Amino acid sequence: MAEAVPVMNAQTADAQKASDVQKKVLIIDDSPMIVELIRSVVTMTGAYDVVVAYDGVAGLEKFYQEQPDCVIVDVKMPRMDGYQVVRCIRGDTASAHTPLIILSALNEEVDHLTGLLSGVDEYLAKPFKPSALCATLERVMNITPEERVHRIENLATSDFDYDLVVDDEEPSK
Amino acid sequence: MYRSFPFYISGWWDADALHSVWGWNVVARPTPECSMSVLVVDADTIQRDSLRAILGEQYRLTFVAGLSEALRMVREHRPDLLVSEVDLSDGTGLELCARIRELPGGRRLPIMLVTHRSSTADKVAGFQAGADDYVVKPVDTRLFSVRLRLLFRLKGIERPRDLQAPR
Repeated sequence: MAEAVPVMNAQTADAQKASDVQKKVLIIDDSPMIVELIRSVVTMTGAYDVVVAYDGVAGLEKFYQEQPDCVIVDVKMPRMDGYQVVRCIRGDTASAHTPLIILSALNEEVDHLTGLLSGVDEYLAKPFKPSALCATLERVMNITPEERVHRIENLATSDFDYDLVVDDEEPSK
Repeated sequence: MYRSFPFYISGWWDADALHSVWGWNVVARPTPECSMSVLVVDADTIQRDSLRAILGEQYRLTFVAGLSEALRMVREHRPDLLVSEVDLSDGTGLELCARIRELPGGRRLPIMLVTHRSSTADKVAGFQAGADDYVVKPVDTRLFSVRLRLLFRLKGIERPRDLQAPR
């Protein structure tokens, strides 16, 4: 019983290396300035191609067209917010294991938690350091599907401090 | 002041009741999932069986086939979670979401749409109708019940202002 042994000559190895190097990152943010800032940081290393979208719905459409290797998404956007985009991507087994980063100006604990419970791999607050974004990108790209499943299971069962939030502001009617 | 007030609130409607009594925004705490009731709206018996196999041990499941029956169950029995197909016998899951969101306290019910429809337009329409989560069939058997629990927690920490804001 002879098993098929994959033959790898220098040419295919090179091709594979090139595709390993040029990963595609989708940036979804409604501010063109922030998009350009993220683009400059992400492309600085030369390891990533960038595609962009300027709201949640366009972002999802771009996602399914371009099949990026990673998504960096803002939270507050027109038409669809970042949490919903993340839940959409995670809710489809075809895309459930895409590395996802939220990059948002919302920086309260509840915002981080909402992001994590929605299924994002990392939540980064604005203003951000370029080095932090690069490191985060590197980190999420290395999360295996098995690790991701573990993290999600832990999130669902672990205790956190949000058992009860009493907000004594008057409810806006 | 009373930020760590030791209250145990077991579901989304209780939170609403307290809301009006105390004039505070109170967010529900997740109940232990073994006692959580899930209303499943799906006419397909095969899908029902698969959901029963995945969730049956961890949640109290109730099955209904259509929109009107689902609305009645939500009004009368106040389930902790709602899982609905988009294509229903007497309407759509989107319509169901919109109708539930109009009920008093209905914004707090966690709603997950679970469907074969996988286009971007369908997903966007689901969220715009008021669904909190959208899962494409076939579901990941390992992650599905975990995802429901996450959704319940998520809804528990959602800020009342977000709930009140028009979608």
